[in-house]
Amino acid sequence: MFRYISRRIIMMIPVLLGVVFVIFTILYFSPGDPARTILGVTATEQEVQMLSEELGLNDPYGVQLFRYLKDLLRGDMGRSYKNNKSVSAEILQRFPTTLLLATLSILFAAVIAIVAGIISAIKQYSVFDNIVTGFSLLGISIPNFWLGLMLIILVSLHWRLLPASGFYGPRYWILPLITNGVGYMAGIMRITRSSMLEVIRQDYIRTARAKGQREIVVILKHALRNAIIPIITLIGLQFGRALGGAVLIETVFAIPGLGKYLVDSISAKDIPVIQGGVLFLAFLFGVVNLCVDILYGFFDPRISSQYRRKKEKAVKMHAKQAN
Amino acid sequence: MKRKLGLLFVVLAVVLSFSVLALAKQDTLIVAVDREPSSMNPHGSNDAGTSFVTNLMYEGLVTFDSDMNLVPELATRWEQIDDTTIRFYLRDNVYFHNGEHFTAKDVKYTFELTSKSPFTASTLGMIDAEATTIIDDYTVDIVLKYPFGPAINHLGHSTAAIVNQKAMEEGGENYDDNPVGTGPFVLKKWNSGDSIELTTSDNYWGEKPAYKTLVLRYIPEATTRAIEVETGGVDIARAISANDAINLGDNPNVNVISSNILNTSYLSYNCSKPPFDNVKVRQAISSAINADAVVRNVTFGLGERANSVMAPSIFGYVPSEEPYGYNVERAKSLLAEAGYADGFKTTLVVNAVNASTSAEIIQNMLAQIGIEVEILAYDFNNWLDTIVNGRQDMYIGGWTTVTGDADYALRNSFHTNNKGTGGNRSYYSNPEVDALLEQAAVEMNQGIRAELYKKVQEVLAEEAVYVNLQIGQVHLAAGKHVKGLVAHPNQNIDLWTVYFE
Repeated sequence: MFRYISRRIIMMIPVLLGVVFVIFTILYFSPGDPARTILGVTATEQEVQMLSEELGLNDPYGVQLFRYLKDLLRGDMGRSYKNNKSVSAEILQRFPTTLLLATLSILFAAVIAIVAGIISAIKQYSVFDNIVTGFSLLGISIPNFWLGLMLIILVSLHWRLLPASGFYGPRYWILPLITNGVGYMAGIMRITRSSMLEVIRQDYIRTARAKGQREIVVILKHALRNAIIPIITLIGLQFGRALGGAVLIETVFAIPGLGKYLVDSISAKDIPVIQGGVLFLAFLFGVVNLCVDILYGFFDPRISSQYRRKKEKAVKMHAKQAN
Repeated sequence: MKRKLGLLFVVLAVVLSFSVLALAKQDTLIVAVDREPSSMNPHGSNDAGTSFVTNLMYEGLVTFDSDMNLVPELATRWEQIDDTTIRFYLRDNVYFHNGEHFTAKDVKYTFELTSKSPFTASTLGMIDAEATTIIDDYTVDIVLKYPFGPAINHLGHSTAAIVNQKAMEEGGENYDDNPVGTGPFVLKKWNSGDSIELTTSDNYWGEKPAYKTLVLRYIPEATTRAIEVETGGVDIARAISANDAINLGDNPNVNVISSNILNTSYLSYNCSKPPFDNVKVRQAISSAINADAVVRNVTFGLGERANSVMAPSIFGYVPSEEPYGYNVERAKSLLAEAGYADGFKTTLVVNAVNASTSAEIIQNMLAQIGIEVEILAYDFNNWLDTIVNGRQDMYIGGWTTVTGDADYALRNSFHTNNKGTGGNRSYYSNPEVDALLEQAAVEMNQGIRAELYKKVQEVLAEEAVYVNLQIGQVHLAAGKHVKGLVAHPNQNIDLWTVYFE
């Protein structure tokens, strides 16, 4: 297992280097001059030249790429063109907020969605099932910035129950996590329902019931455990995406997360920030995928036994060679 | 049920008592802002987000009042010694936030720094920092590299704020954590992406603000800023949308202040490229566009149409007589005279964020005289890159005259030497205009300068170099309890004059 994890982490290095190379090249050759964008419409040629010189933008492509890679290997992601703040410090400062929002939203969504999805599957075509299916259709279709604004108007403005913006404490978390969670919830509900429906028709469920197992055990142990792989896959993907920041949610609720920071850097052509951000996200996505793969093994003994069998084989081979 | 009601009562009582406490003694002002600063150093950036914040912490030798008149700030008075020397007499009772006494040395040091900053070359590039002489602690002669009529105006710009040598050198790369000026507020903490906390300065020489703490909360979404004023989450919101300004107008607990800023937008052309090098084509387009209707539509009726390429509060502004106002019949005959009786196909480059609607209306209006317009709605980068390099046919642009003087608006935008990269994105070239602009730049008599700029604006209007669209406008919303709020045309707010009632 340890060897598997370390190999997966080492595999990420060439991927990340590829990401750096591709992003840098695309940005370098895309139209627009970062110095001019920062200085604005009224800037003179002299000002643009001075700033380009200061930021090292006059150097040729190869020199700039090499310099970036060299700094990166020393762990330095550079400083933002726009506000001269250290990119890595800025990302690390914003990441906890994004992580908190992502974790809360996914937890909120997953708990409700899995329960609702299970009930909806075992009571297929019931009123409850129709409500759940209807809700998930609605949840997927509603644009979340709109939902966010509506919640603010209703809950903060008319009812005066919760603050409208900011991210300073539990009271402030509620609206963003609901807004963010609804979209995720809809997806998880649908996949839980369909995956459960598939499983509860299997013979081994009938066997479990036939041997007199209590219904709750049948559902949670025999059925859910077999239905969980696609659910975990989806939640993993959603979580990976959520860690990139929820731009619209952050904008509407004024949350200082990663999403808005990265999107702003793209419109400002702030190359060090875009680079650092994308690199960080690629790394996170890799880690989340790895965690999901490990979870597979945890929930499905067939997968983990594959590793074990491989390992046993390797040990045997080794023993043979030693002989 | 009874227990539940009791609980509800207790909760209500607690909430109410908190709000009463909060009302009883307000010593914090919370302002929702629409953009973050890029720097805490006044010479470290030239954007409006930065100047809004540095204006609260720093002061210049002179400043503008809310009608864009120059008034003394760190200087008590000044006199023109000769064409290239201005003598400033400084206040002797001013201390920086770090306790250092403000003297002429700081002035010289500041302009030595600005001469090296890329953000101040166009506003302060005329100052010869080496030749600038300290006469005594409170007298300094600022020397210019060449005679420059609007020099004092340029010194009123926020990038000309005075900094302290000791603080700059101690701060080094981390200066933004501990910026030092002479103004009414001191930075406490900059929570990047979220808020900026400031406190009132004990060393401030002027009248101290009526409250202790100032929080600038960065709320990117305009609707959320407006709602926060209504819920009382913030006291003042900057830059709310026209739509929200209208809605909030009905709320008895909120004041909305709409004011014109130093920016105008206009439709213009690449005048060096056919068919727009033909003055008749430009005149035809001017006549075909009902600009009042465009402005009314895009500003929800709140905006004012510009009648010069400059906003009214700028020195040298003269409203044009509109020789080519809206008249479709004249437009058609002008186009025929130019040899395009059947019209032509062309493109219109706009910044998608702020001009897409105007572009669509204009597209329809020009279709009436046979000009078929393809709209190219780009992001800011791409739009700027296109017009700077002259790849546009027509474009919608804007100009903010930060110095409040016509030189910055007209010479940058229409002098032959500034084509493209310099600011002349209309690629306009006219020796007569060039000569007038050069003469006005070095002229010291402001009356004569005003005359020269009047002439320039007349020529530009007659030549139909641009079609004026709206004057830039900013809407502020504030709770009814906020008093003493004055919005400046340069988009800064003197928050230190605010008090509560």
